[in-house]
Amino acid sequence: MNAWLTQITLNQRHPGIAKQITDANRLHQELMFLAPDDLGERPRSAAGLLYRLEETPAGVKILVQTHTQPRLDRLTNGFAATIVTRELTPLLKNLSTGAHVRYRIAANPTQRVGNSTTDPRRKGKLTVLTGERGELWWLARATTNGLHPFSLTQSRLPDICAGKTRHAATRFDGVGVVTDADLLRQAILNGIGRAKSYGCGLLSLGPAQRPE
Amino acid sequence: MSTPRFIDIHALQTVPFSNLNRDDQGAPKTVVFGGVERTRISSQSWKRVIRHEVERVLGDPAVRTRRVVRGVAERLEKQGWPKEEAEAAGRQVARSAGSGIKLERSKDEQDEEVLTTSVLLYLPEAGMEELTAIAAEHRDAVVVEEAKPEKKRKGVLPGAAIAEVLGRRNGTINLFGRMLAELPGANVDGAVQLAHAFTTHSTSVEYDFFSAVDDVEQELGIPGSGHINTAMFSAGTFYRYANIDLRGLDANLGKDTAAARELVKTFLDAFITKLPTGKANATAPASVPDLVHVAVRADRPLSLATAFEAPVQPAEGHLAPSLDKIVAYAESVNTLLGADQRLWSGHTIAGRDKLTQLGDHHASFADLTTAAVAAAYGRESA
Repeated sequence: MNAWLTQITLNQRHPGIAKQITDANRLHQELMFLAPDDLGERPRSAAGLLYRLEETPAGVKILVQTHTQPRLDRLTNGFAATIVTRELTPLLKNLSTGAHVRYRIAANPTQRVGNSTTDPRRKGKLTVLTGERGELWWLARATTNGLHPFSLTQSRLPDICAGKTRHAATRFDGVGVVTDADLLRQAILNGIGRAKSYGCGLLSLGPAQRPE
Repeated sequence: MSTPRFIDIHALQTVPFSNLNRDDQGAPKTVVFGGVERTRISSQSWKRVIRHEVERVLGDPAVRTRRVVRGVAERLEKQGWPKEEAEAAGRQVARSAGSGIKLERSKDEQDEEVLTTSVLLYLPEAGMEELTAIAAEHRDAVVVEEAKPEKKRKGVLPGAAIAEVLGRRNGTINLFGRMLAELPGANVDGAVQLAHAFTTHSTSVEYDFFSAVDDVEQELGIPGSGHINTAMFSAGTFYRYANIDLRGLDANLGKDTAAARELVKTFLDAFITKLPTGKANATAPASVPDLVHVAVRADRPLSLATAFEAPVQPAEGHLAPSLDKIVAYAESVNTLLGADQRLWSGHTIAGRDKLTQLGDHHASFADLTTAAVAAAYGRESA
Protein backbone atom coordinates (compact mmCIF):
# COMPACT_ATOMS: atom_id res chain seq x y z
CA MET A 1 0.00 0.00 0.00
CA ASN A 2 1.25 3.47 -0.87
CA ALA A 3 1.01 6.62 1.19
CA TRP A 4 1.90 10.27 0.83
CA LEU A 5 2.66 12.82 3.49
CA THR A 6 1.88 16.48 2.83
CA GLN A 7 2.96 19.39 4.99
CA ILE A 8 0.80 22.49 4.63
CA THR A 9 1.96 25.71 6.24
CA LEU A 10 -1.16 27.82 6.63
CA ASN A 11 -1.33 31.29 5.23
CA GLN A 12 -2.01 33.29 8.40
CA ARG A 13 -3.08 36.32 6.40
CA HIS A 14 -5.92 34.51 4.63
CA PRO A 15 -9.18 36.07 5.94
CA GLY A 16 -11.02 32.78 6.44
CA ILE A 17 -8.13 30.90 8.02
CA ALA A 18 -9.12 31.28 11.67
CA LYS A 19 -12.59 29.81 11.00
CA GLN A 20 -11.09 27.14 8.80
CA ILE A 21 -8.86 25.73 11.54
CA THR A 22 -11.22 26.22 14.49
CA ASP A 23 -14.07 24.29 12.87
CA ALA A 24 -12.85 20.75 12.29
CA ASN A 25 -15.78 20.02 9.95
CA ARG A 26 -14.61 22.69 7.56
CA LEU A 27 -10.98 21.67 7.83
CA HIS A 28 -11.95 18.05 7.13
CA GLN A 29 -13.95 19.12 4.06
CA GLU A 30 -11.07 21.23 2.83
CA LEU A 31 -8.50 18.46 3.24
CA MET A 32 -10.78 15.92 1.57
CA PHE A 33 -10.27 17.91 -1.64
CA LEU A 34 -6.83 16.30 -1.70
CA ALA A 35 -8.44 12.85 -2.15
CA PRO A 36 -10.05 11.49 -5.34
CA ASP A 37 -13.80 11.86 -5.93
CA ASP A 38 -16.46 9.14 -5.62
CA LEU A 39 -14.98 7.10 -2.83
CA GLY A 40 -18.25 5.41 -1.86
CA GLU A 41 -19.86 5.03 1.54
CA ARG A 42 -16.84 5.85 3.71
CA PRO A 43 -14.78 8.36 1.78
CA ARG A 44 -12.32 9.25 4.57
CA SER A 45 -11.23 5.74 5.30
CA ALA A 46 -11.17 4.91 1.57
CA ALA A 47 -8.87 7.87 0.96
CA GLY A 48 -6.79 6.99 4.02
CA LEU A 49 -6.92 10.63 5.00
CA LEU A 50 -5.43 11.45 8.40
CA TYR A 51 -4.07 14.74 9.62
CA ARG A 52 -2.59 16.53 12.61
CA LEU A 53 -2.27 20.22 13.40
CA GLU A 54 1.18 21.20 14.63
CA GLU A 55 1.72 24.55 16.24
CA THR A 56 5.28 25.73 15.73
CA PRO A 57 6.91 29.07 16.57
CA ALA A 58 6.69 29.77 12.83
CA GLY A 59 2.92 29.25 12.65
CA VAL A 60 0.40 26.42 12.29
CA LYS A 61 1.33 23.50 10.08
CA ILE A 62 -0.90 20.63 9.02
CA LEU A 63 0.55 17.22 8.37
CA VAL A 64 -1.76 15.27 6.06
CA GLN A 65 -1.45 11.62 5.08
CA THR A 66 -3.28 10.12 2.09
CA HIS A 67 -3.26 6.76 0.29
CA THR A 68 -3.14 8.43 -3.12
CA GLN A 69 -1.02 11.26 -4.43
CA PRO A 70 -2.65 14.44 -3.05
CA ARG A 71 -4.36 16.70 -5.59
CA LEU A 72 -2.76 19.88 -4.33
CA ASP A 73 -4.28 22.12 -7.02
CA ARG A 74 -7.75 21.50 -5.60
CA LEU A 75 -7.12 23.24 -2.26
CA THR A 76 -8.84 26.61 -1.80
CA ASN A 77 -6.72 29.39 -3.20
CA GLY A 78 -4.76 31.27 -0.58
CA PHE A 79 -5.36 28.62 2.10
CA ALA A 80 -1.75 27.43 2.22
CA ALA A 81 1.44 29.47 2.31
CA THR A 82 3.63 26.52 1.37
CA ILE A 83 2.88 22.90 0.53
CA VAL A 84 5.44 20.13 0.45
CA THR A 85 4.71 16.50 -0.36
CA ARG A 86 6.78 13.44 0.33
CA GLU A 87 6.17 9.83 -0.47
CA LEU A 88 5.84 7.72 2.65
CA THR A 89 6.02 4.35 0.89
CA PRO A 90 9.81 3.83 1.30
CA LEU A 91 9.46 4.44 5.03
CA LEU A 92 6.65 1.91 5.30
CA LYS A 93 8.59 -0.60 3.25
CA ASN A 94 11.77 -0.22 5.28
CA LEU A 95 10.13 -0.25 8.68
CA SER A 96 11.72 -3.19 10.44
CA THR A 97 11.20 -4.96 13.72
CA GLY A 98 13.78 -3.87 16.30
CA ALA A 99 14.23 -0.33 14.98
CA HIS A 100 14.26 2.49 17.53
CA VAL A 101 11.83 5.26 16.71
CA ARG A 102 10.57 8.53 18.01
CA TYR A 103 6.80 8.77 17.76
CA ARG A 104 4.09 11.36 17.96
CA ILE A 105 0.35 11.00 17.75
CA ALA A 106 -2.55 13.29 18.53
CA ALA A 107 -5.30 10.92 19.59
CA ASN A 108 -8.81 10.85 20.99
CA PRO A 109 -8.37 8.68 24.10
CA THR A 110 -11.97 7.68 24.77
CA GLN A 111 -13.81 4.63 25.99
CA ARG A 112 -17.47 3.58 25.98
CA VAL A 113 -19.04 3.32 29.40
CA GLY A 114 -19.94 -0.35 29.81
CA ASN A 115 -22.74 -2.23 31.54
CA SER A 116 -20.98 -2.18 34.89
CA THR A 117 -21.66 1.53 35.41
CA THR A 118 -23.84 2.48 38.37
CA ASP A 119 -25.41 5.36 36.46
CA PRO A 120 -27.73 3.93 33.79
CA ARG A 121 -27.86 7.24 31.91
CA ARG A 122 -24.11 7.07 31.23
CA LYS A 123 -24.30 3.62 29.67
CA GLY A 124 -22.98 3.60 26.12
CA LYS A 125 -21.65 7.16 26.36
CA LEU A 126 -18.05 8.04 25.60
CA THR A 127 -15.74 9.01 28.41
CA VAL A 128 -12.44 10.81 27.97
CA LEU A 129 -9.41 9.17 29.54
CA THR A 130 -6.85 11.54 31.01
CA GLY A 131 -3.89 11.26 33.35
CA GLU A 132 -2.81 7.74 34.13
CA ARG A 133 -5.84 6.20 32.37
CA GLY A 134 -4.93 8.22 29.26
CA GLU A 135 -1.37 6.88 29.36
CA LEU A 136 -2.65 3.33 29.73
CA TRP A 137 -5.00 3.89 26.81
CA TRP A 138 -2.07 4.83 24.57
CA LEU A 139 0.23 2.10 25.88
CA ALA A 140 -2.44 -0.53 25.14
CA ARG A 141 -3.04 0.88 21.63
CA ALA A 142 0.69 1.15 20.91
CA THR A 143 1.58 -2.36 22.03
CA THR A 144 -1.30 -4.01 20.14
CA ASN A 145 -0.13 -2.13 17.03
CA GLY A 146 3.47 -3.31 17.15
CA LEU A 147 5.14 -0.37 18.92
CA HIS A 148 6.60 -0.76 22.38
CA PRO A 149 7.08 2.70 23.94
CA PHE A 150 10.09 3.30 26.22
CA SER A 151 9.03 6.80 27.15
CA LEU A 152 5.85 8.79 26.99
CA THR A 153 4.93 12.44 27.38
CA GLN A 154 1.25 13.20 27.44
CA SER A 155 0.00 16.68 26.65
CA ARG A 156 -3.67 17.53 26.63
CA LEU A 157 -4.64 19.54 23.55
CA PRO A 158 -7.59 21.93 23.36
CA ASP A 159 -10.88 20.20 22.49
CA ILE A 160 -11.54 19.95 18.77
CA CYS A 161 -14.85 21.56 17.77
CA ALA A 162 -16.71 20.00 14.85
CA GLY A 163 -19.97 21.89 14.51
CA LYS A 164 -21.59 21.51 17.93
CA THR A 165 -19.71 18.36 18.83
CA ARG A 166 -16.49 18.51 20.77
CA HIS A 167 -13.76 15.91 20.64
CA ALA A 168 -11.06 15.57 23.27
CA ALA A 169 -7.49 15.35 21.99
CA THR A 170 -4.23 14.37 23.66
CA ARG A 171 -0.78 14.30 22.17
CA PHE A 172 1.52 11.41 23.01
CA ASP A 173 5.25 11.80 22.34
CA GLY A 174 8.12 9.53 23.09
CA VAL A 175 10.58 6.95 21.87
CA GLY A 176 10.03 3.25 21.46
CA VAL A 177 11.00 0.12 19.60
CA VAL A 178 9.16 -1.53 16.71
CA THR A 179 8.00 -4.96 17.86
CA ASP A 180 5.90 -5.89 14.82
CA ALA A 181 6.60 -4.00 11.62
CA ASP A 182 3.51 -5.35 9.77
CA LEU A 183 1.05 -4.34 12.47
CA LEU A 184 2.68 -0.93 12.86
CA ARG A 185 2.54 -0.36 9.10
CA GLN A 186 -1.22 -1.02 9.15
CA ALA A 187 -1.62 1.33 12.15
CA ILE A 188 0.21 4.12 10.31
CA LEU A 189 -1.91 3.63 7.20
CA ASN A 190 -5.28 3.35 8.95
CA GLY A 191 -4.78 5.55 12.00
CA ILE A 192 -5.40 4.80 15.65
CA GLY A 193 -8.47 5.56 17.75
CA ARG A 194 -11.57 7.70 17.19
CA ALA A 195 -12.13 11.16 15.66
CA LYS A 196 -9.96 10.39 12.63
CA SER A 197 -11.88 12.94 10.56
CA TYR A 198 -10.98 15.65 13.01
CA GLY A 199 -7.22 15.55 13.29
CA CYS A 200 -6.72 12.51 15.52
CA GLY A 201 -5.06 9.17 14.90
CA LEU A 202 -2.14 10.05 12.62
CA LEU A 203 0.95 8.27 13.95
CA SER A 204 4.30 9.79 12.90
CA LEU A 205 7.66 8.08 13.29
CA GLY A 206 11.20 9.40 13.11
CA PRO A 207 14.62 7.94 13.85
CA ALA A 208 15.66 7.89 17.50
CA GLN A 209 18.84 7.41 19.41
CA ARG A 210 19.28 3.90 20.70
CA PRO A 211 18.98 4.07 24.49
CA GLU A 212 22.20 3.39 26.35
CA MET B 1 42.52 63.73 19.64
CA SER B 2 39.46 62.15 21.27
CA THR B 3 40.10 59.76 24.12
CA PRO B 4 39.27 56.05 23.88
CA ARG B 5 36.08 55.32 25.82
CA PHE B 6 34.86 51.91 24.70
CA ILE B 7 36.33 48.72 23.30
CA ASP B 8 33.99 46.61 21.16
CA ILE B 9 34.80 43.00 20.44
CA HIS B 10 32.82 41.12 17.80
CA ALA B 11 33.26 37.52 16.78
CA LEU B 12 31.78 35.17 14.24
CA GLN B 13 32.24 31.67 15.54
CA THR B 14 31.10 28.44 13.96
CA VAL B 15 30.18 25.93 16.62
CA PRO B 16 29.65 22.36 15.42
CA PHE B 17 26.89 20.01 16.55
CA SER B 18 26.54 20.81 20.24
CA ASN B 19 24.34 21.98 23.07
CA LEU B 20 26.41 24.50 24.99
CA ASN B 21 23.57 26.12 26.88
CA ARG B 22 20.35 24.31 27.72
CA ASP B 23 16.90 25.46 28.78
CA ASP B 24 14.76 23.75 31.42
CA GLN B 25 13.78 21.03 28.91
CA GLY B 26 17.38 20.24 28.00
CA ALA B 27 16.99 21.75 24.54
CA PRO B 28 19.33 24.48 23.28
CA LYS B 29 18.13 27.98 24.18
CA THR B 30 16.55 29.90 21.35
CA VAL B 31 15.53 33.39 20.35
CA VAL B 32 13.19 34.60 17.63
CA PHE B 33 14.97 37.39 15.77
CA GLY B 34 14.04 38.69 12.36
CA GLY B 35 11.01 36.39 12.36
CA VAL B 36 12.90 33.11 12.57
CA GLU B 37 14.11 30.94 15.41
CA ARG B 38 17.85 31.00 16.16
CA THR B 39 19.95 29.08 18.62
CA ARG B 40 21.11 31.26 21.50
CA ILE B 41 23.87 30.93 24.06
CA SER B 42 23.08 33.06 27.06
CA SER B 43 25.50 35.73 28.17
CA GLN B 44 25.56 34.46 31.75
CA SER B 45 26.79 31.05 30.65
CA TRP B 46 29.53 32.51 28.48
CA LYS B 47 30.42 35.14 31.08
CA ARG B 48 30.98 32.45 33.68
CA VAL B 49 33.70 30.66 31.69
CA ILE B 50 35.29 33.99 30.78
CA ARG B 51 35.30 35.04 34.43
CA HIS B 52 36.96 31.80 35.50
CA GLU B 53 39.55 32.13 32.76
CA VAL B 54 40.38 35.73 33.74
CA GLU B 55 40.71 34.63 37.36
CA ARG B 56 42.91 31.70 36.38
CA VAL B 57 45.23 33.84 34.27
CA LEU B 58 45.50 36.56 36.89
CA GLY B 59 45.68 34.08 39.78
CA ASP B 60 42.97 36.02 41.56
CA PRO B 61 39.95 33.80 42.15
CA ALA B 62 36.60 34.90 43.54
CA VAL B 63 33.93 32.72 45.07
CA ARG B 64 30.23 33.08 44.55
CA THR B 65 28.54 31.27 47.39
CA ARG B 66 25.78 30.98 49.93
CA ARG B 67 27.90 28.64 52.02
CA VAL B 68 30.02 31.12 53.94
CA VAL B 69 29.02 29.32 57.14
CA ARG B 70 30.36 26.01 55.86
CA GLY B 71 33.44 27.62 54.28
CA VAL B 72 34.52 29.30 57.53
CA ALA B 73 33.68 26.23 59.62
CA GLU B 74 35.76 23.95 57.39
CA ARG B 75 38.76 26.25 57.57
CA LEU B 76 38.54 26.43 61.36
CA GLU B 77 38.20 22.66 61.66
CA LYS B 78 41.42 22.35 59.66
CA GLN B 79 43.06 24.60 62.25
CA GLY B 80 42.09 22.03 64.87
CA TRP B 81 38.90 23.53 66.24
CA PRO B 82 36.24 21.10 67.46
CA LYS B 83 33.42 20.73 64.94
CA GLU B 84 30.73 22.38 67.08
CA GLU B 85 32.78 25.47 67.84
CA ALA B 86 33.83 25.80 64.21
CA GLU B 87 30.23 25.71 63.05
CA ALA B 88 29.23 28.21 65.71
CA ALA B 89 31.92 30.57 64.42
CA GLY B 90 30.65 30.10 60.86
CA ARG B 91 27.15 31.07 61.93
CA GLN B 92 28.49 34.07 63.78
CA VAL B 93 30.16 35.40 60.62
CA ALA B 94 26.79 35.40 58.82
CA ARG B 95 24.96 36.86 61.83
CA SER B 96 27.42 39.71 62.18
CA ALA B 97 27.56 40.60 58.48
CA GLY B 98 24.78 43.14 58.50
CA SER B 99 21.06 43.38 58.92
CA GLY B 100 20.27 42.44 55.31
CA ILE B 101 22.01 39.08 55.41
CA LYS B 102 20.15 36.32 57.22
CA LEU B 103 20.68 32.64 57.84
CA GLU B 104 18.47 30.14 56.07
CA ARG B 105 18.11 26.40 56.23
CA SER B 106 18.42 24.53 52.95
CA LYS B 107 19.36 21.12 51.62
CA ASP B 108 22.70 20.26 50.09
CA GLU B 109 23.46 17.68 47.37
CA GLN B 110 23.34 14.81 49.87
CA ASP B 111 19.97 16.12 51.07
CA GLU B 112 21.49 17.09 54.41
CA GLU B 113 20.38 20.26 56.07
CA VAL B 114 22.92 23.11 55.84
CA LEU B 115 22.83 26.74 56.85
CA THR B 116 23.21 29.22 54.01
CA THR B 117 23.09 32.97 53.75
CA SER B 118 19.93 34.50 52.34
CA VAL B 119 21.85 36.20 49.55
CA LEU B 120 24.48 34.91 47.19
CA LEU B 121 27.77 36.45 48.30
CA TYR B 122 30.54 37.15 45.83
CA LEU B 123 33.95 37.87 47.19
CA PRO B 124 37.63 37.26 46.48
CA GLU B 125 38.64 33.83 47.71
CA ALA B 126 41.27 35.34 49.98
CA GLY B 127 38.35 36.98 51.79
CA MET B 128 37.25 33.61 53.17
CA GLU B 129 40.60 33.30 54.98
CA GLU B 130 40.15 36.73 56.51
CA LEU B 131 36.61 35.98 57.66
CA THR B 132 38.02 32.86 59.29
CA ALA B 133 40.72 34.91 60.98
CA ILE B 134 38.18 37.41 62.33
CA ALA B 135 36.10 34.57 63.78
CA ALA B 136 39.19 32.96 65.30
CA GLU B 137 40.16 36.17 67.07
CA HIS B 138 36.86 36.25 68.93
CA ARG B 139 36.68 32.57 69.78
CA ASP B 140 35.52 32.98 73.38
CA ALA B 141 32.76 35.47 72.60
CA VAL B 142 31.53 33.22 69.77
CA VAL B 143 31.29 30.14 71.97
CA VAL B 144 29.42 32.05 74.71
CA GLU B 145 26.96 33.65 72.27
CA GLU B 146 26.15 30.47 70.34
CA ALA B 147 25.48 28.64 73.62
CA LYS B 148 22.40 30.85 74.14
CA PRO B 149 18.96 29.74 72.86
CA GLU B 150 18.71 30.19 69.10
CA LYS B 151 16.26 33.10 69.13
CA LYS B 152 18.45 35.16 71.49
CA ARG B 153 21.70 34.79 69.55
CA LYS B 154 23.13 37.95 68.11
CA GLY B 155 26.19 38.74 66.02
CA VAL B 156 29.16 39.47 68.29
CA LEU B 157 31.91 39.74 65.66
CA PRO B 158 32.95 43.21 64.47
CA GLY B 159 30.38 43.93 61.74
CA ALA B 160 32.37 46.64 60.04
CA ALA B 161 35.37 44.36 59.52
CA ILE B 162 33.21 41.61 58.06
CA ALA B 163 31.34 44.03 55.81
CA GLU B 164 34.70 45.33 54.62
CA VAL B 165 35.81 41.83 53.62
CA LEU B 166 32.48 41.00 51.96
CA GLY B 167 32.64 44.28 50.06
CA ARG B 168 36.18 43.72 48.84
CA ARG B 169 36.74 43.33 45.11
CA ASN B 170 39.06 41.42 42.87
CA GLY B 171 39.74 41.90 39.18
CA THR B 172 36.69 40.11 37.87
CA ILE B 173 34.38 41.91 40.28
CA ASN B 174 35.74 45.20 38.99
CA LEU B 175 35.24 43.96 35.46
CA PHE B 176 31.80 42.32 35.68
CA GLY B 177 30.31 44.12 38.67
CA ARG B 178 28.49 42.80 41.71
CA MET B 179 24.92 43.12 42.92
CA LEU B 180 24.72 43.01 46.72
CA ALA B 181 22.00 45.38 47.89
CA GLU B 182 22.01 43.94 51.42
CA LEU B 183 25.43 45.39 52.19
CA PRO B 184 25.71 49.16 51.77
CA GLY B 185 28.52 50.18 49.46
CA ALA B 186 29.17 46.66 48.19
CA ASN B 187 27.48 47.12 44.81
CA VAL B 188 29.86 47.43 41.90
CA ASP B 189 28.70 48.51 38.45
CA GLY B 190 30.14 46.19 35.84
CA ALA B 191 32.31 47.68 33.11
CA VAL B 192 31.62 44.85 30.67
CA GLN B 193 28.45 44.33 28.66
CA LEU B 194 28.15 40.91 27.10
CA ALA B 195 25.53 40.04 24.49
CA HIS B 196 23.74 36.72 24.17
CA ALA B 197 25.33 34.91 21.26
CA PHE B 198 22.90 33.90 18.52
CA THR B 199 23.17 32.19 15.17
CA THR B 200 23.26 34.40 12.09
CA HIS B 201 20.83 31.99 10.40
CA SER B 202 17.69 30.13 11.41
CA THR B 203 18.06 26.84 13.25
CA SER B 204 15.37 24.34 14.10
CA VAL B 205 15.47 22.48 17.37
CA GLU B 206 11.87 21.30 17.12
CA TYR B 207 11.65 17.69 16.08
CA ASP B 208 10.27 17.84 12.55
CA PHE B 209 8.49 14.59 11.74
CA PHE B 210 7.96 15.65 8.15
CA SER B 211 11.68 16.11 7.47
CA ALA B 212 12.43 13.02 9.53
CA VAL B 213 10.75 10.88 6.88
CA ASP B 214 13.90 11.12 4.75
CA ASP B 215 16.15 10.08 7.62
CA VAL B 216 13.89 7.18 8.41
CA GLU B 217 14.20 5.94 4.84
CA GLN B 218 17.95 5.93 5.16
CA GLU B 219 18.23 4.64 8.67
CA LEU B 220 15.35 2.40 9.63
CA GLY B 221 16.43 -0.43 7.39
CA ILE B 222 19.21 -1.29 9.80
CA PRO B 223 17.63 -2.57 13.00
CA GLY B 224 18.94 -0.93 16.14
CA SER B 225 21.50 1.27 14.44
CA GLY B 226 22.72 4.28 16.38
CA HIS B 227 20.86 7.47 15.62
CA ILE B 228 21.22 11.06 16.48
CA ASN B 229 18.70 12.80 18.62
CA THR B 230 18.21 15.92 16.57
CA ALA B 231 15.82 17.58 18.98
CA MET B 232 18.40 18.36 21.59
CA PHE B 233 21.37 19.63 19.63
CA SER B 234 22.04 22.24 17.03
CA ALA B 235 24.94 23.75 15.17
CA GLY B 236 25.66 27.05 13.53
CA THR B 237 27.59 30.25 13.06
CA PHE B 238 27.17 32.54 16.05
CA TYR B 239 27.50 36.29 16.27
CA ARG B 240 29.10 37.20 19.60
CA TYR B 241 29.60 40.66 20.98
CA ALA B 242 30.87 42.41 24.11
CA ASN B 243 32.04 45.85 25.03
CA ILE B 244 34.16 47.32 27.81
CA ASP B 245 33.45 50.74 29.27
CA LEU B 246 36.99 52.01 29.83
CA ARG B 247 35.90 54.94 31.94
CA GLY B 248 33.74 52.71 34.16
CA LEU B 249 36.57 50.24 34.62
CA ASP B 250 38.88 53.10 35.49
CA ALA B 251 36.46 54.28 38.17
CA ASN B 252 36.14 50.77 39.63
CA LEU B 253 39.90 50.38 39.79
CA GLY B 254 40.58 53.82 41.15
CA LYS B 255 42.55 54.91 38.08
CA ASP B 256 45.01 52.01 38.26
CA THR B 257 45.88 51.95 34.54
CA ALA B 258 48.29 49.03 34.76
CA ALA B 259 45.59 46.84 36.34
CA ALA B 260 42.99 48.03 33.83
CA ARG B 261 45.31 47.20 30.98
CA GLU B 262 45.93 43.71 32.26
CA LEU B 263 42.23 43.08 32.89
CA VAL B 264 41.18 44.27 29.45
CA LYS B 265 43.83 42.17 27.73
CA THR B 266 42.89 39.06 29.72
CA PHE B 267 39.20 39.63 29.13
CA LEU B 268 39.67 39.98 25.36
CA ASP B 269 41.80 36.84 25.23
CA ALA B 270 39.29 34.87 27.31
CA PHE B 271 36.39 36.12 25.16
CA ILE B 272 38.14 34.75 22.10
CA THR B 273 39.31 31.41 23.40
CA LYS B 274 36.74 30.16 25.92
CA LEU B 275 33.52 28.26 25.22
CA PRO B 276 30.73 27.30 27.64
CA THR B 277 31.04 23.69 28.72
CA GLY B 278 27.48 22.33 28.25
CA LYS B 279 27.55 18.79 26.83
CA ALA B 280 31.19 19.41 25.91
CA ASN B 281 32.32 15.88 26.71
CA ALA B 282 29.77 14.41 24.34
CA THR B 283 30.29 16.89 21.49
CA ALA B 284 33.80 18.44 21.79
CA PRO B 285 32.73 21.76 20.29
CA ALA B 286 36.20 23.25 20.68
CA SER B 287 36.20 25.70 17.79
CA VAL B 288 37.82 29.14 17.66
CA PRO B 289 36.21 32.28 16.21
CA ASP B 290 36.52 32.52 12.44
CA LEU B 291 36.47 36.29 12.62
CA VAL B 292 37.43 38.52 15.53
CA HIS B 293 36.99 42.23 15.10
CA VAL B 294 38.02 44.70 17.80
CA ALA B 295 37.31 48.41 17.67
CA VAL B 296 38.29 51.21 20.05
CA ARG B 297 35.66 53.93 20.01
CA ALA B 298 35.46 57.47 21.32
CA ASP B 299 31.68 57.92 21.40
CA ARG B 300 29.63 54.85 22.28
CA PRO B 301 29.72 51.06 22.05
CA LEU B 302 28.43 49.62 18.79
CA SER B 303 26.83 46.20 18.33
CA LEU B 304 26.68 44.79 14.81
CA ALA B 305 23.83 42.35 15.62
CA THR B 306 21.50 44.13 13.19
CA ALA B 307 23.63 42.86 10.32
CA PHE B 308 21.92 39.49 10.90
CA GLU B 309 18.36 40.69 11.44
CA ALA B 310 17.58 39.13 8.08
CA PRO B 311 18.67 35.51 8.58
CA VAL B 312 21.58 34.40 6.44
CA GLN B 313 20.69 31.84 3.78
CA PRO B 314 23.20 29.05 3.26
CA ALA B 315 25.49 29.52 0.26
CA GLU B 316 28.62 27.44 0.64
CA GLY B 317 27.73 27.38 4.33
CA HIS B 318 26.61 30.16 6.60
CA LEU B 319 30.01 31.62 7.42
CA ALA B 320 30.91 33.19 4.08
CA PRO B 321 27.61 35.09 3.67
CA SER B 322 27.75 36.09 7.36
CA LEU B 323 31.19 37.63 6.80
CA ASP B 324 29.90 39.58 3.80
CA LYS B 325 26.98 40.88 5.82
CA ILE B 326 28.98 41.99 8.85
CA VAL B 327 31.56 43.73 6.67
CA ALA B 328 28.92 45.63 4.71
CA TYR B 329 26.96 46.56 7.81
CA ALA B 330 30.04 47.66 9.80
CA GLU B 331 31.11 49.90 6.96
CA SER B 332 27.78 51.64 6.59
CA VAL B 333 27.11 52.10 10.31
CA ASN B 334 30.60 53.46 10.91
CA THR B 335 29.94 56.03 8.23
CA LEU B 336 26.69 56.95 9.96
CA LEU B 337 28.39 57.48 13.31
CA GLY B 338 31.31 59.34 11.77
CA ALA B 339 34.50 57.57 10.79
CA ASP B 340 36.62 59.56 13.27
CA GLN B 341 34.71 58.08 16.23
CA ARG B 342 36.30 54.70 15.56
CA LEU B 343 39.79 55.45 16.82
CA TRP B 344 41.29 52.09 16.04
CA SER B 345 40.16 48.76 14.69
CA GLY B 346 41.64 45.44 13.77
CA HIS B 347 40.71 41.86 13.01
CA THR B 348 41.89 38.31 12.67
CA ILE B 349 40.38 35.86 10.27
CA ALA B 350 40.65 32.12 9.77
CA GLY B 351 40.82 30.37 6.45
CA ARG B 352 40.60 33.25 4.00
CA ASP B 353 42.20 36.52 2.90
CA LYS B 354 42.29 39.53 5.19
CA LEU B 355 39.47 42.03 5.04
CA THR B 356 40.17 45.65 4.26
CA GLN B 357 37.04 47.09 5.85
CA LEU B 358 37.50 45.94 9.46
CA GLY B 359 40.79 47.64 10.25
CA ASP B 360 44.30 46.21 10.30
CA HIS B 361 44.75 42.50 9.85
CA HIS B 362 46.58 40.64 12.62
CA ALA B 363 48.18 37.26 12.34
CA SER B 364 47.18 35.92 15.76
CA PHE B 365 44.57 36.53 18.45
CA ALA B 366 47.30 37.68 20.85
CA ASP B 367 48.63 40.22 18.32
CA LEU B 368 45.13 41.61 17.91
CA THR B 369 44.35 41.97 21.61
CA THR B 370 47.78 43.44 22.38
CA ALA B 371 47.32 46.02 19.63
CA ALA B 372 43.79 46.83 20.88
CA VAL B 373 45.00 47.42 24.43
CA ALA B 374 47.86 49.57 23.12
CA ALA B 375 45.34 51.62 21.14
CA ALA B 376 43.17 52.12 24.21
CA TYR B 377 45.87 52.81 26.80
CA GLY B 378 48.88 53.85 24.73
CA ARG B 379 52.03 51.79 24.25
CA GLU B 380 53.46 50.18 27.33
CA SER B 381 56.15 52.47 28.70
CA ALA B 382 58.38 49.65 29.92
